Amino acid sequence: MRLWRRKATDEQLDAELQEHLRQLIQENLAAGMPPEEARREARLAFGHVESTKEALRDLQPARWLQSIATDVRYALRKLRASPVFTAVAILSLALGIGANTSIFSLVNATLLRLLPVERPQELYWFATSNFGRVLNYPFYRHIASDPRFDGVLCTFPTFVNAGRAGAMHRVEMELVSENYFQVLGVRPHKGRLLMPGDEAVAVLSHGYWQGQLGADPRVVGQAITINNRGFTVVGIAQPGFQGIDQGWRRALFVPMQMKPQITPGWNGLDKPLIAWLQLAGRLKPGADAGSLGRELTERLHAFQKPFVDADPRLTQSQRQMIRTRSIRLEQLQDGVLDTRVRLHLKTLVWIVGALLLLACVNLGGLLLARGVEHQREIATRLAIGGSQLRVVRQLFLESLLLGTAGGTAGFLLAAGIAPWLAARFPLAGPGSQFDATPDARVLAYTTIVALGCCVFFGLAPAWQSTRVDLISSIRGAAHAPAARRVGRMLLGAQVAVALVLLAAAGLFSRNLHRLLHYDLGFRSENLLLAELEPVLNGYDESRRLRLYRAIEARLAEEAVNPRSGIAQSALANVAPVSGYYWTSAFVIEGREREKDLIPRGMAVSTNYFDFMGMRLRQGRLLDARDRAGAPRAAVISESLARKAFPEGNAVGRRFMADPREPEKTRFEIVGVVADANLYDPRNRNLGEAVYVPYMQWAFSPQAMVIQARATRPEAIGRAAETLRRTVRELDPNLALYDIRTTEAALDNMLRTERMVALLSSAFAVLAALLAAIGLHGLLAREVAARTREAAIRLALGASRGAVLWALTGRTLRAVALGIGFGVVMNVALQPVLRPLLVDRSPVDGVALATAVVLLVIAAILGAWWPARRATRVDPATALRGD
Amino acid sequence: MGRKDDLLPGTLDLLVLRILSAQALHGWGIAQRLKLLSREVLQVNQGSLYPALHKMEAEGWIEAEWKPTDEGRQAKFYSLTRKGRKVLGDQRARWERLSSAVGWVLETE
Repeated sequence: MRLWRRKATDEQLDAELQEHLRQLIQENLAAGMPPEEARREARLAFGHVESTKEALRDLQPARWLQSIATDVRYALRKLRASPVFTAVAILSLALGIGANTSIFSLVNATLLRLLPVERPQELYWFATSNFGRVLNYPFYRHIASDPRFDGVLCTFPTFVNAGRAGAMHRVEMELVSENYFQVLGVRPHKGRLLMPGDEAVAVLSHGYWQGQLGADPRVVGQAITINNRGFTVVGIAQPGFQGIDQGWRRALFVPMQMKPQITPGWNGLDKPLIAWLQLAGRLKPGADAGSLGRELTERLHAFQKPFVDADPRLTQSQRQMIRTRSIRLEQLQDGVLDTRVRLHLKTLVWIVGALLLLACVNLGGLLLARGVEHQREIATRLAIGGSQLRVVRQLFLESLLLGTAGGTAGFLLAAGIAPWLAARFPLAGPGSQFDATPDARVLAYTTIVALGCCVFFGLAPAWQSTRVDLISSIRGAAHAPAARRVGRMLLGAQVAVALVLLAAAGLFSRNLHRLLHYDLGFRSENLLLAELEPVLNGYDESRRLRLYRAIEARLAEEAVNPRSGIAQSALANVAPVSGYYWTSAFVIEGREREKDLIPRGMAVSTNYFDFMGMRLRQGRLLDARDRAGAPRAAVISESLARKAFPEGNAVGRRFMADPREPEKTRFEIVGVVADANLYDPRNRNLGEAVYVPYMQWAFSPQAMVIQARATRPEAIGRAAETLRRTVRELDPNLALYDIRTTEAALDNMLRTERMVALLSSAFAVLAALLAAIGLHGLLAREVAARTREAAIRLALGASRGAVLWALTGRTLRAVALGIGFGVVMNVALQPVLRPLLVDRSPVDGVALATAVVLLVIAAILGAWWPARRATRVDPATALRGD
Repeated sequence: MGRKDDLLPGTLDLLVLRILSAQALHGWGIAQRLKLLSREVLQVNQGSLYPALHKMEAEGWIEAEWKPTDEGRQAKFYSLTRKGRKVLGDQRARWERLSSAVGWVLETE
């Protein structure tokens, strides 16, 4: 709509109406009236020009648009006229919407933006009741052709040593069934994907091909080395696809038949009872996942029964476990985040929701107050014939403009924050690199949220404002007790919500602090970890042992050399704070029927306890006597000793670590050490442990962890270099990977807790700030509106304190009520928050008290200036105003 | 803004269309013509007349043109369009049906 046209129409309209008026006057003159009277009579007869004009303007859509443009310009002018109001409103909306959009971007990136596969909603994991979702290959073959599925695939993620011409890397890969890509609906980027009958072939992920093979187009058809064996590259999968698990970057896909080469020392393809293989299927439309899951469970039980009955070596608890395991079909898209992370994310969604509510309540309060302040103007507009709808529209436009500005600012804020959050906190797994840049869906979300805010908290005050008592408003009686009562209720709610958020943030922060400073039971300072997996380079057992002993000897020499950076070192098959562990059987000699103890099992170098600072409680530690070929000796943890031997006579007793190999795993307990939490500070129930010398029994042929203590924090880099050099000198083809400190490992493990603590604190501070702003606004308006009352009271001899209380008392009471209600809500919410915390104490008094104190400080800050103004009222000046 | 006799709702359009079917007129002229033809019984106020005119213009029943009046002043003259003529026919028929129906009812005493 061009402006000049609108102007022209308006002028024409004027001219037309003026002409009519002139004719009326002419007529009156002709009738013999004096000119003055003629004009007056004509005007009276003519009536109200402006309302006609307004009615005319609203007639056509184009004109309606014009009037909107006018209203928008008017609204902009009004917003510019009160810059503080506008800034506060836009800022609170921007923060509220920005926080929501950021969290939604994370949800969008991790939950909604799915794997690049076809119709992901049809894909289901075979989730099992124990250990997540693991079954085995014979069962897979048994149900692979079930007609309710458009294909069932199986996959086993693992690590290999892979590369070309000497450039070997340890990479993640998946052993998969040959129909894997076909079931998922993944297309080849180059070459072909897997086919029935494929053997030593590999499909590369696009990311691996680009990153580590330099996007070499000739690679298809060539050979790639995996674990010292040549595989033919047949193709490259479509860009973006990096395996079935979101958050992991799989480089290679190899047919399941190649398992013996990929996982040397352990085949297991023919074992019908063990649990290791993941199954997923594409459900045909119309099939019911719930009942199909129950049917699959029955088929699993029927399938494994003959094998269970035929295996006499199974322990009672193993039989029990196998018999009771069940299958549930779980949507692939639901499995992207683990339950704990999902729970944390959900909490954040609630927190930002509450924050947005606060921002909206603030905005609503501001608009309501503004409505009251503008009552005179509105009353005047209504009195001169402005339509009610037009006035409401005008006011609503104002909040719409605020919403647009706040929404835009919030979206931009989120566009900056969300990718940072995603990079800083890899929610879907250590290797996850998901893209949290806002997309169209995020934009739509922001728009809806912003519009929702406008509707809920813009429209209501707008209506309220038009229901004014015209006469008293025009007279200037700026009393609006009703509006202020609503304002106080809103303030109370704000304070309550802010308190809940502050208390929750306190809980999360204290939780993180506890986790970070929790006494793990071992010396974790300057502790450097590095892993190697020589079995992937074809090392057999005796070669592995020789290598480990050589590493031990070399590092012992380095510990004497002050330039190495290493003070001490040890070996163990599991790294502390890794979340991984091996379990061991614990069948006590003479008590073979008791088979329910399943402690953690660790194979360690004999100096391990000294190195870790773990204290001896009974007997002796492992030492040089306990070498290969010597009588097998083991040390157990205090809690295991207490549970297995309540009479306290653990030392000297014997047990089997694997009843399937009784001779190789019969150990004598030589000592008891204090408990240590080696796995995960969030899980305090893993204290039962068995430690054996790796020279005597290694539990598994997999990784060995070299642990070295740096001489001081600055020497960690040098110590890492020493480790690398030592291994390189022993075998240049061995890859030393995952070199990290325990601190970094702990940090990485607790990333979700850290994120929630950080974000909830930031959001809670914002919430307190918003509540303070709301309080400030409400009080300032109350004081301003009741200055006359204060002056009269002062003039009549009231003390300043009494006046101050008269003006602010009710508002402060609302704050106090809000705090009380917040405390109640906080206690009521404990059961919701408890699963996220490590110490499940019922109510955290410290967090709650801190929250109350912070909120009271915020309230004092918010109330300070208005209260000061109230006490500084000068009766003479204030009363002269009338 | 007292009116002598209110128009029945919906009849203003019909009357204006009827007046314009004879000749093009400006707003003032239409009001005068209505007064004259109804023997001073019906009067229309500008507050009703101009919105009605503009609405009918928007509907395309009448069109407007700025022309000099007899006195040489510029005024906006409205005239009937083809569509307006058809609407006039329809409305007139409706009115006649309606008024005779009202008449029958009143006469059956």
